[in-house]
Amino acid sequence: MSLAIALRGYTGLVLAADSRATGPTSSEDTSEKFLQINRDTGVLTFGLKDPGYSGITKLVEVTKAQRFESFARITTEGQAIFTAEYQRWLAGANLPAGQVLQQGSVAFLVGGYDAVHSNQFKVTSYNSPDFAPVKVEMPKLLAARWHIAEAVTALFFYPEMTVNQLASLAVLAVMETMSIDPTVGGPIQLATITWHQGFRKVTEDEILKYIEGNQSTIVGLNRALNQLIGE
Amino acid sequence: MFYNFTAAVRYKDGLLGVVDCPLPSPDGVVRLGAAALPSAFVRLTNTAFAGFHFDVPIDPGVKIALLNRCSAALRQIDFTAITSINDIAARCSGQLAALIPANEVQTLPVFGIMVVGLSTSPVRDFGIVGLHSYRRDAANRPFTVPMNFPGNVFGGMVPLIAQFLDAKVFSRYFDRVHALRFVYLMHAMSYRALGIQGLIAPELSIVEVSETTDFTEVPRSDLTTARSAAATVFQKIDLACKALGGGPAV
Repeated sequence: MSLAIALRGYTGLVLAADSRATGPTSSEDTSEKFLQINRDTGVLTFGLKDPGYSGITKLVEVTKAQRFESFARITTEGQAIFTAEYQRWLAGANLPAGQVLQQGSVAFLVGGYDAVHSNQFKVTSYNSPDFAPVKVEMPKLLAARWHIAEAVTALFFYPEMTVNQLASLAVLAVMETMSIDPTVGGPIQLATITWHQGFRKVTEDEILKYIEGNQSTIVGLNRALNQLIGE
Repeated sequence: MFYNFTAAVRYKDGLLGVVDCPLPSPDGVVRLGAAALPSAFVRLTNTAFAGFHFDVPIDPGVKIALLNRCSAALRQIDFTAITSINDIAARCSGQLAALIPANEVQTLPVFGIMVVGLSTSPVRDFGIVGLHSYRRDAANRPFTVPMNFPGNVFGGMVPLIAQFLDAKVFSRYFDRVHALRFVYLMHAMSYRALGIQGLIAPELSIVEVSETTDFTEVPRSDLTTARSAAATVFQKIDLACKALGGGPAV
């Protein structure tokens, strides 16, 4: 399992995820969950690792080969690509007889700046098995192991936040989830989408700075909670 | 919904059993449609009780039927001369396993029962033992693999949010007042995350066992006081966090 986050603020979008892939008996922190599709758009997967990774890889390949220009075209083509990759994986997965995968076992988020039609930052989500595109109207989307991240972002989020603030908050939400939930962990993956820079994968060094910057927030929150509940 | 937010909270000299429930109707009776809701708690002895928790969405009718059936089975157990919570849980486990026929096991919903209370032997302490429909022995009998919990226990649909707050703020040395305040703070945070989807109910029903009190329902006046105090804490935390704007220092 994993955690996926999309936050929309005043100056852009932030996408975040952990990198843990959890199996029945073990886990590994090697899962690549993000890819850049074009200048202004990125794709994120969560849930089952193999069909997820092949889905985002294929969407990038097809977008480059066929030069999809608009966010709308990418999100429309996404459904067919994700469905095809999922069905291909299912055919070779040798699942035990009678096993039915839950809805949303594999999921995707496409986030980007729609410079062709609306001039807006947009997020579209897809869930197995049909991967019907769903426009995300809310400024926050938290998926998979979302519970603690929801509690944290509900405390800190407001819609006028800048991308830098959103990035810091996304890292905080992943950190706090990791502190409790063993199925979320490993290096944090983060990308921002802004007018002037488009899609940009945030580097490990930058993420480390967010982690260090959040330490005083965590300590301050703990202190405030303990003081207030003890009054 | 109801019985989706549950907790057993162990404070300095007592233990609280917590479950969410719908608002009572004007006549003070909690109902679901025409049927009265059964209690999520069953008195086992003067100092021990069982509490039900449902960890995935379950049809309300199925839930009520399960509660009534399991509660009736638990009430038939004779706990005379049993003084350890582990032994009480073992009796409950046997009774529940015998209740479920083999052909029903595979269709049994995911739910659990916490057996909690004061042990007077081998040591005097408050204990919590979890029995779950999906934890089964080699013969595939449900409720037969008990789990002992050293700290607080959170069931239902939002255990992660409760665990998050538990790690940040809870102390085993809390007194009853602060333990109740902590429970309502957890509920407020969980309700904001899930209440809007109708998955947890806005009110709590809380029972207690302590060094000085046999199993009883916590009076509504105490709940109102704790709820009000927790709301103040939540409001102040909310404002402080918003004010920091994703930057450092609360």
